[in-house]
Amino acid sequence: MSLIYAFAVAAQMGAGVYLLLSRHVMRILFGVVLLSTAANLLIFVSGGLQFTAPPVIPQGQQMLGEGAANPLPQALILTAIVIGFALVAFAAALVLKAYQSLGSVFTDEQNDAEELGSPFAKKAADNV
Amino acid sequence: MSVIFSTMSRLFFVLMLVASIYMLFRGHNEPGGGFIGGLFAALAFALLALADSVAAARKALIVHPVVLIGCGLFLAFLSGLPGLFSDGSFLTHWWAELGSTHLGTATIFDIGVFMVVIGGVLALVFRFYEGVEQ
Amino acid sequence: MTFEWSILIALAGAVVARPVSSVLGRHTGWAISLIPLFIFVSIFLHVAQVAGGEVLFAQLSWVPSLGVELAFRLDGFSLLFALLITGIGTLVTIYAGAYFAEKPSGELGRFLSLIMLFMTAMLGTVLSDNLIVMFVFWELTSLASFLLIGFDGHKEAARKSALQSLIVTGGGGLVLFAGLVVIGMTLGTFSFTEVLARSDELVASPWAGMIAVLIMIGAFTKSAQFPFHFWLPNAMAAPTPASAYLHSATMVKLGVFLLARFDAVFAEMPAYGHTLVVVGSLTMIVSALQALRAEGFKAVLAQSTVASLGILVMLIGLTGEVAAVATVGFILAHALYKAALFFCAGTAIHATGEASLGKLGGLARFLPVTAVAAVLASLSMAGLPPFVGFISKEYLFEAQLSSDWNVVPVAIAVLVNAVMVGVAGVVSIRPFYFKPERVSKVHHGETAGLLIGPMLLAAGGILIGLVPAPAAQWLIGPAASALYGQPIDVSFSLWHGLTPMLFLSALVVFIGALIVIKWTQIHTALKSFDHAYGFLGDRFYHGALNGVLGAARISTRLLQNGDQHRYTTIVLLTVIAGLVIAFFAAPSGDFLAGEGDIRISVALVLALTVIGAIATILVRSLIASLVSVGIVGFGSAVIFMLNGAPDLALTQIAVETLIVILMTAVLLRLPSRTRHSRTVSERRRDGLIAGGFAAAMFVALASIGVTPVDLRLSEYFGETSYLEAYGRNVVNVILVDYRAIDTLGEIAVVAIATIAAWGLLRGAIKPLRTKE
Repeated sequence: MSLIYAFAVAAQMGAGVYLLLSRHVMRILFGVVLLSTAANLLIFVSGGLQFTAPPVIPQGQQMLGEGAANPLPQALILTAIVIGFALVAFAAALVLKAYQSLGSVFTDEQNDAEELGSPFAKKAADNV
Repeated sequence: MSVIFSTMSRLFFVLMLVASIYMLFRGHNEPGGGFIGGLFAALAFALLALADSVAAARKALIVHPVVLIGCGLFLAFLSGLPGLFSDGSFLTHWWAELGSTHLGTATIFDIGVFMVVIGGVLALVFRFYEGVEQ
Repeated sequence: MTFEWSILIALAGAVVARPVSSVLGRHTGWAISLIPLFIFVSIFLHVAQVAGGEVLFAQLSWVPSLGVELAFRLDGFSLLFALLITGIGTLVTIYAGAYFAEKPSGELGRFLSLIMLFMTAMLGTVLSDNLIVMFVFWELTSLASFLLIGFDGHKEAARKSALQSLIVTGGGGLVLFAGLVVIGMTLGTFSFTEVLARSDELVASPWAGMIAVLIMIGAFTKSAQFPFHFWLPNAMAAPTPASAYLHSATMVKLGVFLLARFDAVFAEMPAYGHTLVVVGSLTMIVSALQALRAEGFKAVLAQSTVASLGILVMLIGLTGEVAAVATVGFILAHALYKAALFFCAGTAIHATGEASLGKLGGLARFLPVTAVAAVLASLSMAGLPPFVGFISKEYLFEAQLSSDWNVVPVAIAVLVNAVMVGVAGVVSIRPFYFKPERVSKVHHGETAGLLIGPMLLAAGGILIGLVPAPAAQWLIGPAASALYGQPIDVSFSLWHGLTPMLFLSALVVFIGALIVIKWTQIHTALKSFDHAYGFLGDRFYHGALNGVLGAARISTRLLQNGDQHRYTTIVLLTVIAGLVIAFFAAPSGDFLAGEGDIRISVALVLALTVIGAIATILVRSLIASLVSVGIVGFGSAVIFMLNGAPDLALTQIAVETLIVILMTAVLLRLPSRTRHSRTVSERRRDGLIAGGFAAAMFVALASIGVTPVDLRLSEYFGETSYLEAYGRNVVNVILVDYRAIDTLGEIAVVAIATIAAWGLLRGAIKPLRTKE
């Protein structure tokens, strides 16, 4: 069973990495989304998947019974999902702002800083 | 924008908001909680912003989203103080028993989470959709 | 008040110096000097106690889990240092007040603040009993020295010298730290007192040699021993009061302090002493040569300081109680006369604006009292009776003659001491009395603040020489006993009778007098083949520094070429390499161990997410890519649902919806037509990297299943969730109760990230540049 999960997570991560290597800012962003989804799934799988009942204590009982899923990774992933969203939203804002300021969606054209020249070149100081 | 869609979106907005608050408060005992409630409440406002207008959604929210973020953080922080004074341990929650239900500072903490999530998400959604309207 | 408070009081002085200077202006020096004076007196009150053989301890807990305690120890040796630090510190603050008289009062405030900070660090270093605490203060002295050398930060030479001293002493500090850590690992303690008590154990351990070498390197860099001697002369870029204080009287003696401290520990390891004798002698020769070549007033003094440090290191290397007495006596004598000479040099340079010895002359007319102080101090330096320098030199020769190192070190010591006599003569007689035609005018005369320091120190030198008994009984005796480990009865006196030492002293004075007379000739002769001395200076340092800079340049060009694609590639390759290394480093076992039945529903959904992920990279339209990303996200929500995580499923669905909403808004504003951003070969290579990454992740993930999950924490949460936190949804209880501080931090992150994004898009977005 876990091999199937491993395969799926690895495939999602591979696709995310391939997108991350793109020079199109939007595709990079998609890569980030895929990677964070895959990472959450990874934590979930590594927490053990033997039991499938939600980790909720039934009415009338005082402790979590047998057969309930592991609650700890769930708590970790829940905040990770929300933080991942915050990260992606920030990156999206950055993409938008970068496009509107620099007029390009390709990272090799968003190079105003590099056009100032190498910091090692003597002339760099004059350009600033 | 059709009248029917606009009206339906109002209806959905109210339903989702009620559902999100329900999710928030039942979260301690059943699936739900501040994060989920906050996300669904934000979705409700986002729906209103898309179906009607950002201005309408802003009006419905009454306060500015960033104000909501600040208040939420402050509330979550405040909920930890009683424990600090009584047990010397920040965020150790207080509980009061009312019949069969327990009320405690943990609920206040979750409300803080709820508000931060709504404020954070909406600050962005409103910003992103402000220029795109027809 | 116990003695450890002196460190805090000095620190308070560093804090108040700047504000005080804006109120008191030119009088700040006098006011601030009360602080070191107070510490001096309060430590002086312990003299009788310590001389009685007592060792005072004080302790505060700091990092008990690492065995680091703020433990302090006051014995004879640290008492002597503490008195020198605060005593000379008092005079330095007064002198600095007068030295900076024409500068804006803020300058003086800044300078005094740094001086007091340095004093804090010095007191901390010499008083600490815990080696780690000592190291922290030790590094703080390097930092204070860096700031003081670079005090005139607008001058390039000052900046370069400051950096050089920081690299050498800071780097040496790291080496020292390694040595201290090894000691801690070997003995399980960082307490110096305990290390001293268990020195047999330390010397017997296999690490002993390494520890000795590491500590020696640390001490050599601090005390400017060959081959790290070059930074000290360059440190003369500091304002003269700082040179007098840090770079002659106190800081550079820290290395000596440390070596002397550990001499007792390594008493059973003869190689330790032998190394010190060899390095000390080499340093003496090199710096004596350099002193003869130097031109500047301060430069000559600096070279002679290096030579003195070499003498001290050599003395520590010698065994026997006479060597201990000689070490302590020389530390005291040298601090007195060298600080006084630096003060005089500072006054002369400041008054004339001329720093080269060759251009100074006849200053006695303008600076009569300074001239007298300079002569008195240099007579002590030359080792003539009745000055304390004479007594300490007698001890130096006695220590050498009574050790098993005979001929060579004695010959070196005679020659180097002769050069010291020469230097003493040259720095006092030439600028103040010879060649009166050279100086036409001075900018200012002597003020009380400029005189009190040199006069007191010079007078101290002659007073201790004439009446040595009190100093011997209360200071030198206890300090030497602390070094030697057993009580020593010190008979410090001027007249020892007609001994071989007296003969050597006479020889030294004779050769020294020749050097004074022939100074110009020797100087020119040595100067004429300057290139031969390159290796004595900092050529090696510059070579190493340029090499590092060159390597940095190459690696920057290689790694930071300005293309984000390159950066991402490097990061990913590193991660893959890490995973591969981990795979081969791991104990071999059952990788790829799958267990459990395959559930069709789960398998189908997972297949869907894989298809979505692959579709994201295959489709060219951004909208279609967004939809594919959404499929992966909603698919993983279903996976959560199928595995008993309804909270996660709900969160994932809401977040995925919001991501689609936000991304759509972004896509609406971006150009919809797009092109390939990578060449075909780049895409092939990226495909390989992505495939490699996926393969590495697959192996890593598959092997996760082999290790059983540690469920202790989860079980604890499950058992106590309702009983203690009154919640049935364990996930939510973990979030709002057990790990509420984490959650508070996480919502703070959400708040910061969203407010930042919101602020980023605030206001009208104007293009900075339009592109065709």
